[in-house]
Amino acid sequence: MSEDATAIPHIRGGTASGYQDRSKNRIIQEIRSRPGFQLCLVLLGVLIVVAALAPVIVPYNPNETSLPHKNEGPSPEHIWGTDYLGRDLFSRTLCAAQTSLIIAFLTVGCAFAAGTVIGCIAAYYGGIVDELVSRCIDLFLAFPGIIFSLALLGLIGAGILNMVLALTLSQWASFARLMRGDVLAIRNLEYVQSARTAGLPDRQIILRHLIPNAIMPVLVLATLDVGHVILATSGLSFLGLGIPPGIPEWGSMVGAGKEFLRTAPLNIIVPGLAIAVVVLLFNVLGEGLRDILDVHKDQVNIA
Amino acid sequence: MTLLSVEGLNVRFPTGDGTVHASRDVSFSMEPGEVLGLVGETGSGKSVIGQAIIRLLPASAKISGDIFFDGQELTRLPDQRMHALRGRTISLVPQNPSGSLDPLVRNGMQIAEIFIERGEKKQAALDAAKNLLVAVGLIPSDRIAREYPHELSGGMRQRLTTSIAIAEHSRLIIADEPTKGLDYHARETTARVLAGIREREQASLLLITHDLYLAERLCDRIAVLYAGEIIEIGPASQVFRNPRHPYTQALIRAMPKNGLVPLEGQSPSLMALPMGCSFASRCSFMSDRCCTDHPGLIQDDREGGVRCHNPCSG
Amino acid sequence: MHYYLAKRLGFLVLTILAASVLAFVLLHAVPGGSAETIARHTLVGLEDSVSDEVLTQVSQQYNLADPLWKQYITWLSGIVMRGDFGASFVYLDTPVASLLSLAIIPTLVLACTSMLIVIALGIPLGIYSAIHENSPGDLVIRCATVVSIAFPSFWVALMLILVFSLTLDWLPVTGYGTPANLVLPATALALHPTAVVIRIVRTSMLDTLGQQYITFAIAKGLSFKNIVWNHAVRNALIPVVTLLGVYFGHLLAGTVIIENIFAWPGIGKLLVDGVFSHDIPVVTSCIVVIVTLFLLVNLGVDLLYHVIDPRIRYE
Repeated sequence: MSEDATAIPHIRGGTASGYQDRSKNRIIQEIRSRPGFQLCLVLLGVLIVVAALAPVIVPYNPNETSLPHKNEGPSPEHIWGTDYLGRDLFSRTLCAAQTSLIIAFLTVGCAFAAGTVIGCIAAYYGGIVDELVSRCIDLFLAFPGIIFSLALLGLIGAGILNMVLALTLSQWASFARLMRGDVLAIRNLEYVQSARTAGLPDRQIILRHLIPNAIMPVLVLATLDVGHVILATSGLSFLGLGIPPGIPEWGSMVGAGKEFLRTAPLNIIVPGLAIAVVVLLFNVLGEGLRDILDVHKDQVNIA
Repeated sequence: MTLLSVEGLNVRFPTGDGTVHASRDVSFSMEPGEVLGLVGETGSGKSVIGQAIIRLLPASAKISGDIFFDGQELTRLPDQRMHALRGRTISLVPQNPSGSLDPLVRNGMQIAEIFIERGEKKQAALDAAKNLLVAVGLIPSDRIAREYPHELSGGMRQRLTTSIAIAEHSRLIIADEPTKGLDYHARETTARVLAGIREREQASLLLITHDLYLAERLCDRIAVLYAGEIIEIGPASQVFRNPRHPYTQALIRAMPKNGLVPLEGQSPSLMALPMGCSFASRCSFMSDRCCTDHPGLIQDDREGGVRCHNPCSG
Repeated sequence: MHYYLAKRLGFLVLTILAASVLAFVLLHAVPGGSAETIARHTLVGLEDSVSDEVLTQVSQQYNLADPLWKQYITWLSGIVMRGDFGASFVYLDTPVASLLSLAIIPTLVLACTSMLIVIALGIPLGIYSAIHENSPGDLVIRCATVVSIAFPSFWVALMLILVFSLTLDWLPVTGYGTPANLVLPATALALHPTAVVIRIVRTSMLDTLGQQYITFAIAKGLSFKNIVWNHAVRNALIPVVTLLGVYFGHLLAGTVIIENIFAWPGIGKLLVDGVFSHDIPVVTSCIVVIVTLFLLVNLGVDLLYHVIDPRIRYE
C-alpha cells in the first residue's frame, strides 16, 4: 500500500487537487492522533455556543441588582454567589464570555484582514511601497503597542467598537510582517511567475495565488492572538477603560470587585478563572494548529 | 589479533510509514593498522554502520547483531564504559565538519577541551592542540587556533575535525564521508592527511565514503554496500581490478577514468525490499533465481566474498 | 563597529521621533484637548460654564491656537533644548518633566527587579526542562508555563495580595520604599515573561542538543556536564538574549497595570492617571519615555548579542 503511494506521486499529485487531498488527509490523521486537541475543539465549541446563547440561558438578568443579597457566597439560588451589588455572578460570568469573544474575534478579524492585505501588497509590489510599509510595521512593532491602545482608549472613551479599534492598532503589524515574509518567499516561485506572464491582473494573482498559499502561518498566528487579545481586553477594562457600564466583562468585574477582595473574594476569583480557562483553550488550539499544520515555530511567536 | 569484528549487524528505524532497514546482516572484521573502506551510494547504509560502532545512532534505532571490539561486545556495553571508549579508543571524523564544530568555540579550544577534560592545564592543552593543527597542515597554527570555525574554509574544517579524531591516538578511527562536499583541491588535501595518519598512527581506519578514488588510494580492503547489505568484500586491489559483483563492476565503470558509464535505475526503497536479490531489477545478468532467492555472501578462496548467484569469475 | 553603532543610534532616534509624532498626533486629534475641556477638568469643574477670559488664558498657556504641527514642534524643541516636556493640564504647578523624573526611578526599580526574577527562574528552569525532556519534572514545568500564561497578571497580583497580605499578613499591600513593598508587584509582573522565557529556553536547548556539534562532542568523549554547560547552554542562550530585550518591553507595558494595583508611583501609574484626567501632555510624554526606554534596552541587547556571538560582524 505505502509503496503505491510513494511510487506514483507524479501521476496522482500532478494536479493541484491531488496535493490538497493528500495534505487534507494528513491533517485529519494528525488531529485523530491528538486526543487533547480534540477535547480542546469540543470545549471551544461548547464555549462559543454558551457565549452566543448566554443572555437566553442564564438564570438571572446579569445587571439586576439586589443590595440585600450583596457579596453572598454560593447558594442553591446563586451557585457562584453574588457580587457587591447583589448581581448573580454565574449569570454575569457567562454573559461576559459573549463580550470577550465578540471583542476578541472582531479585533483579530480586523487585524488579520488589515495585516494580510497590507503585508501582501507590500511584498507583491516591492520597491518604495514595501519600504514605506515595512518601516511602518517596524514602528508599530518597535514598542509595546498596548500602551498606545490604552492612551487612545482613555481619550476616545468607552465602547465595544472603540475597544476593537484601539486593540487592532496594536495587533495588525505582526500579521502584516508575517504575511509579508510569507508572500516574499513564494512570490518568485514558478507558478506565480507564470501567472504573471500569462497576464493575470495583479488583484487576481494576489487573491487567487498569493493569499491562499501564504495564509497558513497567519491563521495560526490569528488563533494564538485570540487569547492574547482576550488578556489585553481584560487588562484594559480592569483599569476601567473601554467597556461601557452595563456590559458585563471579566476584567471590569475583577476591577470593580477588587475593593471587596477581603470580604468577597469570589467577585474576583470567578471572572479571573474564566479568563484563564478561555485563554488556555485558545492557546492550546493555536499551538496544536501550529504543530498540525507544521508551521515553523520561529515564524509564529507572539507570546 | 582482530581489532574489530562486526557480526550480523542489523539496524532498523521504525517510522510512521514502516520500518527502514538501514543495514542488514552486515559482517566484517578489521585487523590492527588496517584500512577498510565501506563504499556505496548515498542511502546504502554505510554511515549507519559507523554510527552503530561508536554508538551514536538515534534512540529510535533498533540494533541487533554483535560488534566485538578488542574482546568487548559494544552493543550491550554499559553506557559509561562505552563513553569511556569514545575519543580515546574509538574516534570519529564526522560527516559535515561545518555542523560538527561548535560555532562559539575557538578552533584551538575545540581540540584542547579534550585534553582539559582529561585533566591537563589549559595552556598545556592549547599547546598540544597547536601541535595537532600543524600535524594536519593548519598553519600558522597560532592564528588558526585563535579563530572561530566560521572563519575556516570547508577543507580546513575537515582537517580540524580530523585532528580532533587523532588527538588521543585512538586504535580505531571512523572517518565518515571525509570528502563529501569538498572541492577537488580540498579532497586532495584530505586524502593526503588521511594517508599521513595511516603512516604515523598505528590506528585502524574505517573509511566510509562514496568516493572511489579515495578508497582506492587509501584502503587495504574494500566492502561494497548496496541497499544496506555488503554485496562484495575483498582486498582493494582485487575488488578494483577484478570486481565480481555486477554492481561493483557498474560502480567502477561509472568512475570518470573508466568512461563515466552511468548505472540505470534506482536502488530499492529500504522500507520495501524485494524478496530476492536487492540488485536484481538493475542487473544485466539477472536470472529467475535472482528474483526469488536472496543470495548469501559466498566466501571465495581469495579472502573475499560476494553476494551474487551469478558472480563474474573475474 | 563605530559605523554600525552610529547607524543603530540613528535608527533609534528616528523611531523615537516617529513614535512621538504618532502619539502626539493621535492623542491631540482626539476631542479632549480643547481649551474648554481642559478648563472644565482643572479650573472650574465639569458642571460650570467657562468664561471667555479663562478660555483665552488656557489657550495661550498651551499654544492651543497654533496648528497641530506647530504645537508638536514647540513641544519637541522644548524637550530637546531644555528637557522641558511641557505643562500638565492637571498639575498646574508641576511641569511634566518633574512628574516624569519622579516616576521613572520607581518604574525602573520594579521592571529591573522583575527582569532579574525572569532571568533567575526562566533560564535554569528552561535548561532543566530540556535536559530532562519528558521527565515528570519537565511535564510539571511545561504544564505550569502553559497555565500561567493564561492568567491575567492583574488577577495574579490580586491573588498574591489576598494570600500574602490579607490572609498571611506577611507583606504590605501597597506602598513604596522598602524591599518588602517590591516583592508582590515584581512577582506578579514577572509571571508571564518567566513562563515565556522558560518555554523559549527549553525549545532553544532542545534544538541545540539535536545539533551535530553536540553529537560530535559526545564522540570526542567529553563528559555530559561539559557538553551541556560549555556547548549546549552557551549556544542555546544566544537567541534567548535577543528576546530578553523584547520581554523587557512587555514588562514595561505590564507595569501600567501592576503599578495601579499596588499604588506604585511609577510611569505606568502616571500614564493611567493622565489618561483618566485627560492630561494629554502627560500621556504623550509617558508614551515617549516608555518607548525610549524600550528602544534603549533593545539596542543594548543587540550590542551584547554581537559581543557573545562571534559569527556576527558589524556591517
